[in-house]
Amino acid sequence: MTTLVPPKQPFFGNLWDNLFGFDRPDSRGQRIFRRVFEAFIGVGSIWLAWYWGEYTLRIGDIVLELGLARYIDISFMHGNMLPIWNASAITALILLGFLRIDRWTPFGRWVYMAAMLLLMLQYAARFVLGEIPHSSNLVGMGLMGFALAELLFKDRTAGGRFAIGFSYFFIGLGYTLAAVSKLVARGLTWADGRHLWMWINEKAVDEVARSGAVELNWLQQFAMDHWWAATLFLAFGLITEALAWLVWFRRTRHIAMWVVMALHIGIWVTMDILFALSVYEILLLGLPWAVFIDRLWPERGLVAK
Amino acid sequence: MVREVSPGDSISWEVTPLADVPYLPYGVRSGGVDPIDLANFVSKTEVWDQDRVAALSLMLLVEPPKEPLRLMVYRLRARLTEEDSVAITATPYVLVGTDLEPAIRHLNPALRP
Repeated sequence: MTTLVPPKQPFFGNLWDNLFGFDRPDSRGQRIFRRVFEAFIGVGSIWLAWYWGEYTLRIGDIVLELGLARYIDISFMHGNMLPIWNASAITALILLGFLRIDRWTPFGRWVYMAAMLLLMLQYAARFVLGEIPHSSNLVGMGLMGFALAELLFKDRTAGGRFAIGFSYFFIGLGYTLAAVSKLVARGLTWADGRHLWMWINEKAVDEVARSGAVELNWLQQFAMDHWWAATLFLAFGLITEALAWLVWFRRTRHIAMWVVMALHIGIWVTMDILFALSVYEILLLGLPWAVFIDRLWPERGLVAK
Repeated sequence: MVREVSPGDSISWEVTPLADVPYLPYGVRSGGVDPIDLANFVSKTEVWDQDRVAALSLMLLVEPPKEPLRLMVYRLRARLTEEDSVAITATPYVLVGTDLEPAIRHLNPALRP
């Protein structure tokens, strides 16, 4: 008697299939998750558009042109209500796209891409004061994923899968390149705990500026008191980022996402920097929500795996 | 960093250690300002002209309180000392206020063009 042994799957397998899984069977859980993720990206983008728009009203001069502002004169966005009109337009475009009425409008399948370009304009107008943050990049790349999906795929299922895979790809690439940048800039000495001491002090100064007073929490104080602990924290961060490409593969995706989540919690506790939208996105992408939904609410004729 | 200057206070342009900075603590959050913007604005401005002083005044006082308010804006610098501790000094840069026209004369004399 012979036993059929299934062919051994390579540990990582095909990157394209790992990211997008276009040929895999669809399920209720996946459909719900795709819409929830699209809603999250839409709401996050609208929130950023209004947050940046309202803040831009208080900007009276450009300290440093960054991003798009290096190529176009962004000063037309200052000293008037254009940032508010722009936020309104971004909101309308995203709603048209999410409610699936875009293809009956003159914008057709370009609504998400138009919203993306206007959001980049809003971003460039807001961040002319010397620093451009990366805290909104995950949501921005999410919107870019849905914008490209609208243009490249007629089939909504394939489009949604592309958008989610696009986010996984850029999360893995973004964090991995962050580690590469640190290593190029400082080598392994980037993880020297004394650097964390400087950053904790810098953030303490920010807190003095923000609220008028500051008190270090116990973990910050512990890191300040023990060089080895501060070095360990930074080493964990560097290793986590260097291995973030594991997000690309199904077998390692969820554990890699949770380690990235731990990295963000560490940054929050030690340096008081919370990338809230990024953390929410990692929460969404870091758990197999579609499988949970399929188990709780199975579709007739399909077995959840 | 920003400190609130009371009407009777004399204006000092002296560089001091962080612990010795005069005037009252003031949190820019109360005026809706992101402290990172303030830090960048102050540290990355190379030429302090009239427009730049006016822009800083707008940033801090776009939603002015009912009572007159004067604010001294400081630039803080930190360095690692030989004893492996962090030393922070504060340099006063510019004075802005709801009752002050933004002007070069309210800049630290060392920064005036």
